[in-house]
Amino acid sequence: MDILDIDSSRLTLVIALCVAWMLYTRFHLVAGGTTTGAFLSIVILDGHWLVALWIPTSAILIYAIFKFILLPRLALPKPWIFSMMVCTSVLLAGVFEAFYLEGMLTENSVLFAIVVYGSYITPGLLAYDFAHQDIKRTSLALVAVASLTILITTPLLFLSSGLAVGISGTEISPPLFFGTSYIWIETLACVVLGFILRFAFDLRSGGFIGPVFLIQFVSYESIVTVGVSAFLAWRFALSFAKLWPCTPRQAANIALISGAMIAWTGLYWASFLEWMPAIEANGFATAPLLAVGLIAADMTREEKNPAKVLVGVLLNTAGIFVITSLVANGYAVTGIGLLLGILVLALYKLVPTLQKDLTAARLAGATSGLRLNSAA
Amino acid sequence: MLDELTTRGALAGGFTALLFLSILAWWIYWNRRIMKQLDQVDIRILVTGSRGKSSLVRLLHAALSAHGIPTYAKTTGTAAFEIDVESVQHETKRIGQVSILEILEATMRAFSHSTKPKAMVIECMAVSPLLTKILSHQMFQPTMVVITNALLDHLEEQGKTREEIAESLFLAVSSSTKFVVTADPYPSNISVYERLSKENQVQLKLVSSDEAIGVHDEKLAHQHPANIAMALSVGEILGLEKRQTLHGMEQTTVEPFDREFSRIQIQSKTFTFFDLGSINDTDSLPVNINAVLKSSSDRRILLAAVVHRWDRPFRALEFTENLSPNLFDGVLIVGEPYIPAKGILLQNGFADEQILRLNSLSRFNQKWKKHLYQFAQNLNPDSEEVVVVLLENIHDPLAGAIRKELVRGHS
Repeated sequence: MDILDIDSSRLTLVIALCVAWMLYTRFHLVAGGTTTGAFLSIVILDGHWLVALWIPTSAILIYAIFKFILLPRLALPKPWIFSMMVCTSVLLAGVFEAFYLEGMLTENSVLFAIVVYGSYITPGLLAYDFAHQDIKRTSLALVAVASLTILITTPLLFLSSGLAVGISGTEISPPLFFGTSYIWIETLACVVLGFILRFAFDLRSGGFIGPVFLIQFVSYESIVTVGVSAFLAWRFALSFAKLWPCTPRQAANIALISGAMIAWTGLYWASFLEWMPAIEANGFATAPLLAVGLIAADMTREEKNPAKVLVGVLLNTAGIFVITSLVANGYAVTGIGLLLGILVLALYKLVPTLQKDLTAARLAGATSGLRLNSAA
Repeated sequence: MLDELTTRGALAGGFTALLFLSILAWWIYWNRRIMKQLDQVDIRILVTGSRGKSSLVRLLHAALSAHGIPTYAKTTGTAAFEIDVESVQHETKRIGQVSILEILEATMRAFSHSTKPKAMVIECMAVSPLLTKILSHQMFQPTMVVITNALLDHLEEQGKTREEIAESLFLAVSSSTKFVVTADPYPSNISVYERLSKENQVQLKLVSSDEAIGVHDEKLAHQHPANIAMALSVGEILGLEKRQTLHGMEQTTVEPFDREFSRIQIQSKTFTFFDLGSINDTDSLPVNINAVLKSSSDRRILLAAVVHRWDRPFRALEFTENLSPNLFDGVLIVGEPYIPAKGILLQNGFADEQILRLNSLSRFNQKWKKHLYQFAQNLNPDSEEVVVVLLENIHDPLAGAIRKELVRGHS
């Protein structure tokens, strides 16, 4: 463990994102979204075997829960099911983390943030692709991304082992913003608030987990820098996709990779120039790269109004901050109650709309085809 | 500064930047090559609509080929096919998910032949408005768009009414499009096309099935009259001689597994399976069900096997609501959502014993044949003939297994 340093984990992340992009482009295969393969590669290269085993095991468990218990009972749109799977993933990982991860990683571990947060989210992403793409092809894609990434990264790490580490190597990873005991509520709040913002207010907020990464190094400077970086990545991806036609998934992944590259380059050289906010953020290995990348990727889905994503990110981050602060300061019931209260209010708005859509679908069936024919 | 550039961190950044730029450069090269190839195709026809797209693509390929125009065609769906310039049919090999990128890949394959295509006829594989726009406006850029019809399908993505769906389908019209042809039978849809054609400054050609009267002879008996009328209209716009067009259409390739049925004996009953799973809208069901009924005796039991997909819940509810106990003696439910679907069936007058769930577990334990026989036996012990019509989707793995074992294995 702790084999990878800040830059080699970033190297692994971007290589895996590029491999995942190629795999989708050439074979139309996805492996738990774009980031799961990257996460698995990092976890394997850094020797966290328990976490590596947890991801597919948890994904299969979530898939089974949905396949045999929930999906037969729910007629809900695909994005709702997706969010519910990720929520289940967070809850399961909370239990797993409480029993198994406690003490396994130190807060000073360079990769602490991605290993823990990733283990909360990626099983849900994987389970969704199990259901949507099927288990065989998703597993094949995941193995392909992880193996190719490791195959490319390992010789590079070996060849560069004799070189000086560079500016990031001198950083000491700072502790998590709220500490290790509150990861479950941070992640849960992020996913639930993300769902509410997206479906009740039409605001995206940096994938399922972008704001959680942002909160680790939050400051006025970092918010502005992340916003500007994400905007640049979005602009680049959009211009690229206009010139050389891409699918929305390809364009989002280009934004994700370019966002990560912009964040990495910016942090590295701003740290070299001794800009304090950059030095602080640079200590989080992959979190700043993913925060910028995920926000930029969501912006590609809001072609005309990317500012909506920034508003969503700010609201989600503020929500996580309030709810986790309450839980961390001994007001757990209030914090969880607040989250559930917001969810209930949002559902109060969303359910009638959903019911209207379901009724419209039923009405379409009742007034067409065989029904009319057999009535006659 | 110079020392920092040769550190592990800086070199790692440099390497990944290079890798990222390399994959982008590859995409630019690949993409530009294909777009240039597409530019060389004078006639680019995009066929969209709710029903009849694949058959029309095949008709148009045959019609254009009969005039000596090297034509490449592509159909989509669960089993996608490409028909090359020599009219040889190839299955589109898929490793991963269905993607609009197949259009670019098909173009590359089209140009791998020694005879380069002068016409391409493509079935629109995009469902969501955004993907339709990318496929048409940025990728294929059709010179002509054919909209077969706008029926109640893909309610999640395209809209809840026929008019909304018509509007969504019209997004296939790009700035390169000069003509839109349609045989949509719904006047309200026609109004949508007329309005949008004016806005987009394209010429709209409305045709009706009646135009196929007289030419709809034995050799074209298996083709839908509306499709024949649209194919003739496309030929007319392109200045093709009508008789030769019709002659070409008589040579149209047939969709593999189209109109298949099979019979198997389970104990004392003969089960006949009809596969109508490729019909994804309820509007098109009556004519096809009537054809099924004509070929079976009055003393049979008629079962609907609805194959639900969890990711198409609206279609599941629409199809379930469409089933009436006046027509079907029982319903088999495959896939999810099961419980809301059963609730609708009960509300609509089906009794509990008229509904059977075939879930994935029964596939693994291979008891579904026994369940099916018992179900039919309970409905009518005296009836020896059971007709099962597979409806709604063809994507569920269990339905796929049933189809593989019965429909394609015992004809």
